Amino acid sequence: MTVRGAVPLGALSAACGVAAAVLLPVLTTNQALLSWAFLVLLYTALAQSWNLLGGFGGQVNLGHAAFFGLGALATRMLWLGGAPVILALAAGTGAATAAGIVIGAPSLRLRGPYFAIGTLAIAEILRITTGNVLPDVSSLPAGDLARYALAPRYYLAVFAAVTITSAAWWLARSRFGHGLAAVREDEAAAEAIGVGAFRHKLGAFALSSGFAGMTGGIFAYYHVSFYPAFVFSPVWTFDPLVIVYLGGVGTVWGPLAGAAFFVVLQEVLSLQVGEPHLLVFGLLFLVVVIAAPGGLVEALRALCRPGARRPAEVGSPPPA
Amino acid sequence: MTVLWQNVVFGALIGGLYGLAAVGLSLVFGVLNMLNVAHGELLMLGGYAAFWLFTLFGVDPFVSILPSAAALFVVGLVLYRVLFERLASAPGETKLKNSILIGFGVSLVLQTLALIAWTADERAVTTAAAGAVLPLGGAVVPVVRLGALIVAFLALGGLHLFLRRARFGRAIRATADDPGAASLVGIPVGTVFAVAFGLGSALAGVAGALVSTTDAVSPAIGLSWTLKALIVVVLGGVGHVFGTFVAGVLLGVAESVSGFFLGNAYREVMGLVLFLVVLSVRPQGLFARE
Amino acid sequence: MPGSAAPLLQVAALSKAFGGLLAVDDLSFTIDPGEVLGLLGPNGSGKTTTFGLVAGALRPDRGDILFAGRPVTRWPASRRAAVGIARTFQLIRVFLSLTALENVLVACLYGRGRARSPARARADACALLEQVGMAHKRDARARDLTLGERRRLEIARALATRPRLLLLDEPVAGLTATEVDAAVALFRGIRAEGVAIALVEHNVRAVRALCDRVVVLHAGRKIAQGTPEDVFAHAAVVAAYLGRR
Repeated sequence: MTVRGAVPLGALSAACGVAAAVLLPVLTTNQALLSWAFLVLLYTALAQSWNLLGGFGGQVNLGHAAFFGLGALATRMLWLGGAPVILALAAGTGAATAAGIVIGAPSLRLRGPYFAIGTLAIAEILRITTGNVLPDVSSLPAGDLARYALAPRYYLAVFAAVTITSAAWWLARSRFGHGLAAVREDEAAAEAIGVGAFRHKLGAFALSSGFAGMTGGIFAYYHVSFYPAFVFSPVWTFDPLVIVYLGGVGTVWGPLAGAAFFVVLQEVLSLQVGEPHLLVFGLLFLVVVIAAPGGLVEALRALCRPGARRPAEVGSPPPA
Repeated sequence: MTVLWQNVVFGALIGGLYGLAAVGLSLVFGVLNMLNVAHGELLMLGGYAAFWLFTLFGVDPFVSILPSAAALFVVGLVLYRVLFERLASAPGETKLKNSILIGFGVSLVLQTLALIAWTADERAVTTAAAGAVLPLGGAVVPVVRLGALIVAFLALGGLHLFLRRARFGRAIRATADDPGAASLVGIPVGTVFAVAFGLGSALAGVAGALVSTTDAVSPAIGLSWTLKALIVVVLGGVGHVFGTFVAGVLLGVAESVSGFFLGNAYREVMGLVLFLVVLSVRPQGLFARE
Repeated sequence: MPGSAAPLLQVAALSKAFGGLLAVDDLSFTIDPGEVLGLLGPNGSGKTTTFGLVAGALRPDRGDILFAGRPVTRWPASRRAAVGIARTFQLIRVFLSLTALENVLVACLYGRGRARSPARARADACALLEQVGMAHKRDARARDLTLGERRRLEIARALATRPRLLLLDEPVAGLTATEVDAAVALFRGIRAEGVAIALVEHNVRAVRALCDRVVVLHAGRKIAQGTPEDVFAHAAVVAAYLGRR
């Protein structure tokens, strides 16, 4: 049966992909290629973290940048303050998770569009306040700069992309994920079969914001110098949102496909004047939202298996 | 004390523009149950229209209001027909969510187009009257800002009369109340939707032209204006033209007074906090009609 | 059965108002384990509101709800589902972009049967689809199903929670005569497994065929109760409340 055959095949290709990603720095010394791969992984991680709540949970969070920024800021301060980067990153992830619970609990009570607008307002408050409190650019000290190497950043990005994609894979199969899908479809009906809607949404919010913080932390470890307010910029919400929809919202592999496409097109088009890649992404995003809700993943699936079943917004459960 | 008073005056002046920006958004929301988050980008386009008419042909922005509104009406109509119309029959929650997503895509496209066409430079119109001020109880009132406030007020008055008195205006209000019933009594609901969207955009065009006289216009101003409009709509409720205007003035005053006490850098934070407080008291939003 | 004296559901002096309108007014009734109770009354008499109160979708203004001896009045809907209160909706609410199987599976994983292993849950979900005659539509998305199929899917989903009390809100509305017969047979089967049922239904044939007892509501108040025969024989009830839909 195709379904049974597809599971080991999928697992096999996933394992090959991870192995290739891990071995890449050993196989090549091409720094441009490595930075490119780093960006794909970083965007995959960030987009997937948005997808956990926005795609699987159906809650359009327009304040994702808040958690990316909190993770980035906490990690950067601790790391530059002398803490081992792993500890700093863990603290950044923890801070973003905690913030996710504190912010998620009230904002998830907002209905419909107010959740989207409310989260956007929170992220903007954090961005403006950070810009006021920490107006100076954060740069690496000369010593760190001399010792800077891309490889450890790259491996952390591999770790984040794999971890967060695994979380999505788990959501597509687990009991919690099934409950979350029910909540996304119809909260009242989900409650009526015993799924606590608020608990599920908050759980997904905490996961999503924690992973956004982890990604932000890696960005803070990677980037040589940036203004603290920059990590709270709305682009850290809007880019992952576009990537998720381009790749396939609510799918396990959509964010990876979308991120690769995003980074490649950015590379190709950034040779032109202005920011034409954003124009292309904006138009493609509109096409996807209006005409092709399955995104790239679904388009690929349709190409490979004509007549196959329609997009699983949440992957089907494993065969018994 | 004078400085505080000056802040209040300035806040009220800019707040009139917030109100005008919000009324367009609120009209679309009230009639179509769609949230056009590209509203700020439409305003930005209106600002550029006035800027170029002034720079190329020397047209005063207060005159450019009309061509700017007309152009934005057409832009709105096209956007509605091409993108938003397909949502018109979707159930409420889906319609809102998808309108946000489509609006987001539109804002990305418009912002990038503006960036490619006109660069990221901040533009402003400096007319002959730019430096003139009037005294008001110890504070000064820049003539241009006062003019913008008056025009905003007049535009809203015109809209109010149109919605109350004109046949088509009444059709719009009837459709906002109950599209099904409106269509049963022979109102062309599809046309009403399109015109309401166009009208909302035209109001953004008016607001944009006025903004060009007092503030900077650049491709990036959209998001901040959309947020302002959203805050005002949540504070003022939907369906009351003058209520929205008053809420806009209040937001302007609240911002500049908090800027006075907390430092200018925090003036925007105040509006956002106010917004969150209102939302947390009424999670369904003040949008909700009884 | 030694505990048969205790009712499964006990509703005492329940009231709920929406704005100025009293939708349910000082309503009391009980349902015994395994019993089928019909809730009758004209539209707007408070039947669906009563269901909402019992299932936990609405909070009462006054009154108490006891389920299996436990006060559940303040419990959220999900917690009530977990102890065995399941419902269907007047306007069918299935999970539209999930498959038929996923719709039922998620209810197997939650509800009263939440301790089941994933494999067991899946097998149970398949069996339930079989029971309602939907096995062939297992992998179809709910949005692609017909109205009748969605209704059966919704019933299978409710059963998947392993309810002790099943609230069915107009489960045969809009069905053909043959489909009504099939549905009645299905509900008899459910009842035979010991599940108590509360039924809101305008279809007199279905009510007669299924209900042990009926309660008649008007303007949120109970105006009559008894066996279907007794109540339908009551000319006033028939004329005033059942004659017009």
